[in-house]
Amino acid sequence: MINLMPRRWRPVGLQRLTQREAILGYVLILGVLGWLGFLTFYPIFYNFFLSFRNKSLLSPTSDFVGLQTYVDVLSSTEFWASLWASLVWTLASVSLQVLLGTAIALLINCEFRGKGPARGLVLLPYVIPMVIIAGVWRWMFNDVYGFFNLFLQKAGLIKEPIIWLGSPSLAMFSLIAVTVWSRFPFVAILILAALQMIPQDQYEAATVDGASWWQRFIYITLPHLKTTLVVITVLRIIWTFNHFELPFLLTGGGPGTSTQTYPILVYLRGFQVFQISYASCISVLMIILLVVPIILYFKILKPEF
Amino acid sequence: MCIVRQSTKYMAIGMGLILVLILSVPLYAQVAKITIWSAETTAANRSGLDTLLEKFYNEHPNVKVEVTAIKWPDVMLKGLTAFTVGGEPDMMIPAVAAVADFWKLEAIDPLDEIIQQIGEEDFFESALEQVRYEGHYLGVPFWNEPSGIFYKKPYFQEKGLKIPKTWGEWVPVCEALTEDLDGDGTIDRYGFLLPGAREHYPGNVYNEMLWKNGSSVWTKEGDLNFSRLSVEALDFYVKLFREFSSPGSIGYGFAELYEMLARDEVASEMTMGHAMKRVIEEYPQLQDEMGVFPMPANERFTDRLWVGNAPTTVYMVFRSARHKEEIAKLILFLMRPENVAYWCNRRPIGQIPVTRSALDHPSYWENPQVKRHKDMVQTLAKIVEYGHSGYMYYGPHPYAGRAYGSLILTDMVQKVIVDGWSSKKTVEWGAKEILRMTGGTIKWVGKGDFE
Repeated sequence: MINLMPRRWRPVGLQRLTQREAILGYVLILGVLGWLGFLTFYPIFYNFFLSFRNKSLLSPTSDFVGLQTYVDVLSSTEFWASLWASLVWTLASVSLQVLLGTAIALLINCEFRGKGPARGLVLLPYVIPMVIIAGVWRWMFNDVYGFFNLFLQKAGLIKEPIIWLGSPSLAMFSLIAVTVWSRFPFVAILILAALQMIPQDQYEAATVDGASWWQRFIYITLPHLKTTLVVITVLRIIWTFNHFELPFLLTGGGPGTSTQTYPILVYLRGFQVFQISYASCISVLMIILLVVPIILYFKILKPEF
Repeated sequence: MCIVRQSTKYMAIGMGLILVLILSVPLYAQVAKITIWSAETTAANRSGLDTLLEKFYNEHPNVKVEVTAIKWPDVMLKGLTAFTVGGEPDMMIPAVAAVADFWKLEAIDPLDEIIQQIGEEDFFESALEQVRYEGHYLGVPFWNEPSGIFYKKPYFQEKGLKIPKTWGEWVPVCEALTEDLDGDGTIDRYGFLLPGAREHYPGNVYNEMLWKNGSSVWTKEGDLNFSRLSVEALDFYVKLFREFSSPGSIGYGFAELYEMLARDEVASEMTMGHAMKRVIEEYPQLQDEMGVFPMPANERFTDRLWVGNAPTTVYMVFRSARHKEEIAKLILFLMRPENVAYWCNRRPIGQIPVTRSALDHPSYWENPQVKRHKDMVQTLAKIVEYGHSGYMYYGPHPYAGRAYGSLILTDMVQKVIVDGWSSKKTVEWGAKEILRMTGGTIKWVGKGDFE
């Protein structure tokens, strides 16, 4: 085999470098790696450490309390209510994001006039900052002067205004709708990229064999998309479950605690009531919640990667 | 070898730079630098402060002030965190609810001397009360942002309504103002709008109703004061909400409050003076139709008519601050009547001075909006004179900051309106939550009412 690498780029054995050069190299790398590792892992470990104490920001000292904080958290209705709100929001919005994103990707993968601008427009909701999204949708949902009620009333579809953000069930529905609208483009673009990789000759062969559109989708498209869909779904579940801004800005966790998701609970407990250990404990439980199903998924279902 | 020579060269350059920095320290040391964290982050207030600081530098060229903006909800969090790690600024401009917490942590200095130099008699007693704790003044108050019931005068005139002073007078007024204008069976104008979003303001409004009903969150001794009076106040809040407020207002924050008032969707609402800014900017033709009155009081407690929600904003100095003499000069400069008047008028009507000399200063009343809405400003100034702040009827309380931050009173309102709890059950729940928050260090004085 011909080695095409320039002479000076060929890997050299350790003994070829002088000892000082080697040590210097490691020193230069270790510094950066150490700092990155510290910034990444120290907060996680300190979080675990705090969850076994009763630390409050309003007190300079704290005591080790073992699992008492965990008992307090797990026995509070607030924790389970937030967990339920997070699960409902995450599972509903991710399912809809994936469905809608896939459908849109299939649509913009077809050949039609204006395909290029259409692909650009699809991305638009994703690039708008979340603060703007929350502010604008909050105004559109307003029961008195919001766009949705105005449209529905003018169209004669409703008589009384709908209290989108004022009723617990509708507030969750509104939150899910905004999440799906703002995040489906991410799914669509990734699915579109995956669709581009599917060999076209398979579709041609299937068409020649008389396969219908649905059969081509089930037996050709979907198997090729499976890996991408799994990755997107897992990532979107993690990101949505962890997501703080949209529920906080749109509903503040209300009305009542109907949309008080997990991250909002951590924020309120840690940064408004200053119960740092309590908030750390909830965070640790969140990590466990997110890691366990992912591990189980890969172990049990053994997807083909 | 080549790498080693190069690295030696870079190390030499780095050492040289460090040496230059060290040698230049004496130059910096001649300028006294004061760091301030300010929760007054609006563009108008920030530019107002910058203008005042430029004038201050003319008188004190050896002082420099570095102002960092922090959001109101972050005052306690950032201040406490910074203090914990030794990174606190020299001064802070926080919500007054924070001062007792910082005092208990021995984080701040008393500012008794500065208050004496300005003159205690110049301050409204209500403002000083909000910073007076354990025999000291924990901050220097400079303005107040009072709340009141802003209303549309034409509707009152049209229906021959008088400004209500009691709850018994108030309900029929709200009823008369709640109208289905086009006869289609839906209400087109609500008589009285109450905020409901899961933010601080609904808690503030309920807190004010506690005061108007002879109650409060804490007793004078610092214990928990929830009682039947608290239940009555919550019942009244919910009655007003259900009968006269837009159902959607359970999700309204300040932005919606201001918009509804400006758009004429409501005849009156409980809000702050800043609502006028929206009216003036977006619907200037309506501004002369606006008026304000204090929240009415329960018939049994009419002496509390003018006791409104009037939180004061203060200058607070951390114990670790280095240039305390310069800080004192800065505060005294900022507290000059013309300077307080100037800064208040960066957001006119919404910000009222808490010193008589500033409130009476000619430059304050020369502001076009203050001049035009003189009656409104005078009413708000009277609320300032008798008002209290946040959850602190009797002055600073070490748990007021965290009670405020926890949204507990807002949650109580929402539990009744959204979850359908009874007011009694809700007040009991609120009491238990506050006792838990305070770690059992205070007593629940009104508990006998519930047993």
